[in-house]
Amino acid sequence: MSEERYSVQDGEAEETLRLVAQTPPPDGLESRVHFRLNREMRNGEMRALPQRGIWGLWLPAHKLQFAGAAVLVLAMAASLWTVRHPKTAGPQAGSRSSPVAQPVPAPPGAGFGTAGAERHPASLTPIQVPPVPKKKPSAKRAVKAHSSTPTQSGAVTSAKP
Amino acid sequence: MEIPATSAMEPKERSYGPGTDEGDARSAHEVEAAISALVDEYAGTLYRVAYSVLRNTADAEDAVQEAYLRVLRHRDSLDEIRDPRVWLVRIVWNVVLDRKRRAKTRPETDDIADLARMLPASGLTAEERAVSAQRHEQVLRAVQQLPEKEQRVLILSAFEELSSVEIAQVLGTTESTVRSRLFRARNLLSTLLSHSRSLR
Repeated sequence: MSEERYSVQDGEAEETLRLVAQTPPPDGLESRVHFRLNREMRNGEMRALPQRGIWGLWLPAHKLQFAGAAVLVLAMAASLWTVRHPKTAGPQAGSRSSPVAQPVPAPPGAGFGTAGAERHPASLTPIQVPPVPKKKPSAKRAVKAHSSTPTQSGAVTSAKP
Repeated sequence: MEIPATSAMEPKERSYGPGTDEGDARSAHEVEAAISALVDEYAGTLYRVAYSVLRNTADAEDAVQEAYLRVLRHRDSLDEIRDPRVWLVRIVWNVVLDRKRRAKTRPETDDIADLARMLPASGLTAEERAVSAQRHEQVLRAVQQLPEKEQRVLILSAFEELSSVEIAQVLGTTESTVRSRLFRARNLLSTLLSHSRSLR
């Protein structure tokens, strides 16, 4: 029981480390590792599915995704710029204005015309408007025309008792 | 070099090409079986390596599980492994060192005392056991005071299944370096233990 029996000797320290190294593993270690690995494999498969399924079909490469995102950002920036800096109305000094496009009448027959052509349905008969007399009728003519009109047409225009 | 008889360790020419679905499914199944064989064969060794550094049952088991998860992530390169035992020990060693680095603030005094009491002391009386536990505790504290590199070599040298060449492979150094570090570690340890004995 003396301390000399367990005193420091050559290899005693290594014996302690050897005892530590020989510590038996707990029961069921392998089965727990198997379980964890199986779970991880299943999770890995589940995680891999949506990445391939949705993003892979829409944009197959990451570069294209980044390019798409960049285009969206540029479009938003451009729209914001146009909202904040609207164009001034009317031509500016020194600028050349383009002539205003006049509607072109459509050709009489069927077929394609220009985009700005005026079209009328074929069934619509044009209204004939009598030409406006150039001279002002005199009072004598007007009376004559008024009196001759019922007799010429044969209709009674005025109801006299 | 001991290589387990698993299909994943066979040369690549035997495996199916990666293009066919049947080949993929077959190779995935083979890889799964190979990893399963690695677990059955080496989980105990990995646990003991992890426990010798972490000195905690739960932490050591976590380290083993993490090591096998790393194997799972590198399952495509299983064919290139020549010695899976040393490869696995190296993986779990790195896992353990990562964990130890992260948990550096935790005091280890209680762990050492607990471990010294837990070490097997069969055939001894109660008094002898107490003295033995005290001696183990002294040794473990002295090992704790060693420089990191010498400490690592000494811990790995306690594993009978690891030769100095394999320890060098695990630590990523040469065999001569391992031998010189081991020599230095033993001298330092002897000095530290003599000093602690003289203090008592």
